[in-house]
Amino acid sequence: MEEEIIGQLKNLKKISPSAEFRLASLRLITAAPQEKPRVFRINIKEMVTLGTALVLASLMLVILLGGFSDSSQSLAGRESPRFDIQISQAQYFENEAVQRDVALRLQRIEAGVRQFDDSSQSGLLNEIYELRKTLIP
Amino acid sequence: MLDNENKLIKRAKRGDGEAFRALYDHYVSAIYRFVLLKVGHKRDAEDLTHDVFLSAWQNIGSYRLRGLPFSSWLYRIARNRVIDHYRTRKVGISINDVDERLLGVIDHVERDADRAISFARVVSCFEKLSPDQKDVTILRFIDELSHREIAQALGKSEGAVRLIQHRALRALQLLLEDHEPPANEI
Repeated sequence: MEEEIIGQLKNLKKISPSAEFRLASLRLITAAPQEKPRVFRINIKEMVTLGTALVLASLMLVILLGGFSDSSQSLAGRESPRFDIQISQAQYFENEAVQRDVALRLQRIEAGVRQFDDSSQSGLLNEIYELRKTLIP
Repeated sequence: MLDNENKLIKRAKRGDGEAFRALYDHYVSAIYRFVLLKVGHKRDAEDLTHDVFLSAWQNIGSYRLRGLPFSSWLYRIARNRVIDHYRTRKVGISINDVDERLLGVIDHVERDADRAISFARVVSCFEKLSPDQKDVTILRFIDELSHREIAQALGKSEGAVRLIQHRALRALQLLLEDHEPPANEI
């Protein structure tokens, strides 16, 4: 049965368009303008211009990205020194307060020592002087 | 395929109408047949065939010689045109109209009274096949293309084409078994 069907289908090969249609259709077709293929063609001048533009664009991109990354680095970098500075400042102020306190105490001791006699006074005053020098160079 | 097909295509690409005429003469019947069996109306088939070759002429510049065979390229255009035709016009095919619509064809076909299956019954049943089954049936059994050529034309794998062909023949057999012969055939 399959061969019978195929045999009958082959009869359809006799279908063909009329000569009149073929003639008229072909005449109209070949009279129509052809579309030019869209091919990517560039000459040397265009290639150079395009290349330069691409290089400049890439450079600009690098600069922009580099600028951003630098600024972000510096932002990150700035945070830690600022933190360090704050700590050192705190330490400095703390030390200064201690120094001031010690200096005031020494001043009071010095005033007390000056009430003693000269022999014992000079030895104590020398010692105070040395201590003050060590405290405030 | 024509013997000097590639040369003709190259000439047609340069706008040579005579070269395109040779290509047209070689392929127009196959494309017309393909379209007519898909749309069923002579006038529509002529219009669509004209559109196919007009598109081929206008776009032959973008056709690549080392790509798809020229025949497959034409069948692809034809198939797309038929799909567009159905999409825009939504034409339905009535089996009762088959003899009337294909009268011109049947008149040219030899009628063999001894055959178990009549030509008209085959055509009636053929119209019930799916679009893919019709495509493969036409290209394989009427235009006698290889499975590879059909696969290229329809954008399918060779395996898929073989499967569609098998199913189409099976469907035709079942349809012919169920199909009541017209009164004038009894």
